[in-house]
Amino acid sequence: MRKAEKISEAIGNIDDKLITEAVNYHQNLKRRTHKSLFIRWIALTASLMLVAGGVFYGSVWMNSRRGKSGVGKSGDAEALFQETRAKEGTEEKIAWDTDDFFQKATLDTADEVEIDIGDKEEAVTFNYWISAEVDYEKKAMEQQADTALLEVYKNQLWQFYQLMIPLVLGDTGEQNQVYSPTQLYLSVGALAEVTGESNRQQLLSLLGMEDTEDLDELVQALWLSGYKNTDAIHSQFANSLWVSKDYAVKEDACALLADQYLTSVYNGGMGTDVLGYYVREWLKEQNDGFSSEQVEDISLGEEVQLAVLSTVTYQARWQDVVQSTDVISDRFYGYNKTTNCEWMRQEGDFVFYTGTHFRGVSLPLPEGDSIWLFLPDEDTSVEELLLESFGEMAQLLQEEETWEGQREAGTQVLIPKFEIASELDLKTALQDCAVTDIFSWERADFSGLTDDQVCLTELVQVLDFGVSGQEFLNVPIEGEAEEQVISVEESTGTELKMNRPFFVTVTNAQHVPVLAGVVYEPTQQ
Amino acid sequence: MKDETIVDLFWRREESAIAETRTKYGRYLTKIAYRILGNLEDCEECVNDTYLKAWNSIPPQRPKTLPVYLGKITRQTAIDCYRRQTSVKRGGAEFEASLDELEECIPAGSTIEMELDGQMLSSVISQYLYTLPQDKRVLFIRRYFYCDSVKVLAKQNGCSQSKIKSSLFRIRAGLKEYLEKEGFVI
Repeated sequence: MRKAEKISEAIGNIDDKLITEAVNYHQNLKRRTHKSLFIRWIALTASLMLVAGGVFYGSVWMNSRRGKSGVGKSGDAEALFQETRAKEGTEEKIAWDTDDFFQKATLDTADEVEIDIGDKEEAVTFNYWISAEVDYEKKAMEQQADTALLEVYKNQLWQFYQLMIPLVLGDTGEQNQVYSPTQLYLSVGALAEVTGESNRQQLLSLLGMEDTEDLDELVQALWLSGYKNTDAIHSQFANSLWVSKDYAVKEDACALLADQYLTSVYNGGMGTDVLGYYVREWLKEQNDGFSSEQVEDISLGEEVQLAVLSTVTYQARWQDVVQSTDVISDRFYGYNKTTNCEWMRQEGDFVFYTGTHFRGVSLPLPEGDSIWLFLPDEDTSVEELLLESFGEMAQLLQEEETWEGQREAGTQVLIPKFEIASELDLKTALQDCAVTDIFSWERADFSGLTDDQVCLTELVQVLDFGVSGQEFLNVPIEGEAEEQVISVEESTGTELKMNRPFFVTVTNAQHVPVLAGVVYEPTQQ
Repeated sequence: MKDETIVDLFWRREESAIAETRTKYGRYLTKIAYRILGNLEDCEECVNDTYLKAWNSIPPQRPKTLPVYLGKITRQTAIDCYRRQTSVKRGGAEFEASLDELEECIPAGSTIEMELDGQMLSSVISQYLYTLPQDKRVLFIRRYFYCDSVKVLAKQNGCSQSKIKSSLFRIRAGLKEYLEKEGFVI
């Protein structure tokens, strides 16, 4: 017997009071303090705004459209547990399920469930939802990003980005919108691995690949390039596949998706509160930025056969720039209205790039990442910019130092505070790119994943992306205290002011666009 | 059903005692077993053994805290089963990880195998835990009695996994020092 086993055995016979204390401790803690994650997030954001150095935050979460595809209102897990307990006639709540309720989802009916708000590791024992699950932190530690591979496939990647970014963001109805083109690439790559020949060809064509031979390595390289976890930056892609319990999935395919394509696979009852609960818990586990309130309506309807859910965490501090403490007065000139908003002025040594219909600037973020801001000319809309000039912008994003366009030195960048909450139907965007078979009941072929006939029902990204900073100051409301406002000169050669709708993207050190968005309206005061 | 009532059923040798125990504590016991054994089949056997051992020991025992009593039986039964497993099939990941961590607590010295030392070791560990702040001893028990994963512990405590790991590291170092100070060798 190992000596450690003797200690472990001895721990098994310690004083009963200690064990009782351990069980009751977290239950009492839960009852005393129930501050929502959302409130903590607000408090954190507020406190960070008071601290030197701004905070750049971005987070992505999944959301299925309410009222579409059978998505219903999510249930309350605790209420369902209590209801289940009542049905069983239990006189008192089971205190000895430690701090969890306990779930056992059968494959027969969603009615026979008891709810577990506990460890997913436990869930696999009793409800078999998990077919394969990725430990992203472990994955990041095991491997190094193969940046050479990203260079090899650079043309293919940018072919994808140049197609998908204008396509997704070029017609948003003048609404703020953001998504992750690289996460989309990762999701499509995972699907290509488990589809039959004809479906696969459509997907590979979109990805710019001839076959899947290098696809898994490319996916891993992309994913690793986007993974960062330090005090200054937290960035991570997370992808998952949710399969209806009506279809049996192949274990080896699930293992392959998890291991090579960094995609977790879950197999369970669509349209149930239990599944909805696990969908939300998965999102919150993968993205610390999500509060329960943000994801409370997320679920998958009962008609969903196969769904792709992804989330991207991106939180970073401004780097090497100084936040100005001056009072700033200005407004944001939207296409239909002028908005009073908070502004941030960053001072530093910048390079302003002037291209066809735009001026752009790159602001540094930790670990070699950058946030790029592209301001269209006054006579150019954001849509026109993306449709006509994105090729030129893409060149700049890829090869900043050798870009042949005009550049000038700048010292100030003014950015309005904005927050973009988007809910994107990427299914339509893929169909517009001739990826149609995977969505068709007749033509879909997921034979690599299941022997059953199943089609992809949902492929959705919902993102929350925003910018704030230490000196985000309010612009006074018109007609009030104007005498206190310091007027600001019009933008000069040394200043770039993002005071009309603009395009924004975050790229990593390998120039991979982690996030891309359009801002039509800043956060109002 | 209240614990006292269940214990009374055991004393009256009514077979419904097992059913009631299963209803109330089945999942809890299975959770303990699963963390050590890592597979359902062995878990079920282990929990069923627990019911049998409870039946055979109550009476004369009259546990004051039934779930703790049952939990300890399950845990020991699971550990015994774990030892019988082949190296290929061995145990739950968290139990294995906890054993690796507990290696650090072993004080320098020779091996002592007497059963009495096992009981003394439990007593000494209990004494050590009482010297800790409540949150630290709870953390230790959750990790090394219940085999909660570091991830779960981080979530329970609202902190990072790194913080949990460093806290556990310091607690283990303190236990080792305490054992050495007491002249205890394993």
